[in-house]
Amino acid sequence: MPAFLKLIWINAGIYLSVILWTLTGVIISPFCYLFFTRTLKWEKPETLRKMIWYYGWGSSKLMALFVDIKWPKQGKLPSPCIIVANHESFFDPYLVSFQPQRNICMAVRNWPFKIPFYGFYMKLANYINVETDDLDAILKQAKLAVEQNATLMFFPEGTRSRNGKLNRFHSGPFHLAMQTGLPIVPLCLTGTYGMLPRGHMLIHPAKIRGRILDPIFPQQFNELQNGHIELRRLVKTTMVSCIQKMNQET
Amino acid sequence: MTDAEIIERINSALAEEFELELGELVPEAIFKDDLDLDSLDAVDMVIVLEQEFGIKIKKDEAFKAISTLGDLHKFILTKKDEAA
Repeated sequence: MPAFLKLIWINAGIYLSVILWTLTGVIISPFCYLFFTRTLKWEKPETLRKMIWYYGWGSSKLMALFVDIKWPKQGKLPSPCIIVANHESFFDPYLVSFQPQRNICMAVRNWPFKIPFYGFYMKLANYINVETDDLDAILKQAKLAVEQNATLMFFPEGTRSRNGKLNRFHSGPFHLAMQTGLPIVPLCLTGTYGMLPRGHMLIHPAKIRGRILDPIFPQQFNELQNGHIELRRLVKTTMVSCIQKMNQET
Repeated sequence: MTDAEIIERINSALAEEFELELGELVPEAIFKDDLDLDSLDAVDMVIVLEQEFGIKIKKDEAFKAISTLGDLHKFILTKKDEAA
């Protein structure tokens, strides 16, 4: 297929299918929510978090019809744990189904809470606002989510990469790991920057890959004064080397 | 502890936390434009400074108005004086 036709196919396909899937979600999700919480008596935040996971899973399956996406091996994650993923593109949060836990409590900045519909559901799902809350409030919300059997998920760069390389990591998830003892599970994503870099609207053909790394336990840094910084360094170094390897393989 | 020593401790703590070079940490440096630190970093900054100096700053309105490193030095020096 000529390159420009392929671009039209990919862009029309992904945008239209994800928009239609989102509209379907807007219509059916209130009924699903009521059914799960009223009839099946599921916990409300957990129900919302699982519904968001399925929305992400559906979106990424639709995207996989137009670009090359391979799901990583779905091993068993320690539960609970803190998943940290690199952030290259707008589509990364849709790839939440790259990891097997469905009850995911995401930590996000303030602005996504203002997106119509999305923001409302994120609040109902008790997602953590890491921009306006202080560490005590974040810790309290994280502990509550863990009590509700949720796995925490962070994009520690705090924003999408401007050049496809890993940005500096913020300390939030690492403070949390040090204070709660929860292991960090790195999730490495590649290819999404090539698919849709920050500031662009045109989707390009790409090979999207993910890899779930072994958990990193914070207890090894307990004795250090700034153990969170050492933990952060170890996690970042591990992810950088994995991403390099993944890029070479593709 | 002298003011110069406090300033040195502030700069060292920030350099380590935010992976900055000590040479970048001049008083006129603007956090957002010169040091590329944003509101998310402010959360980390509060934790680091509270741990380093044993002071409470998270609910201090004056902290929210700080935009340069020099402002932060003055803020911490004042806090230390108040605590003394």
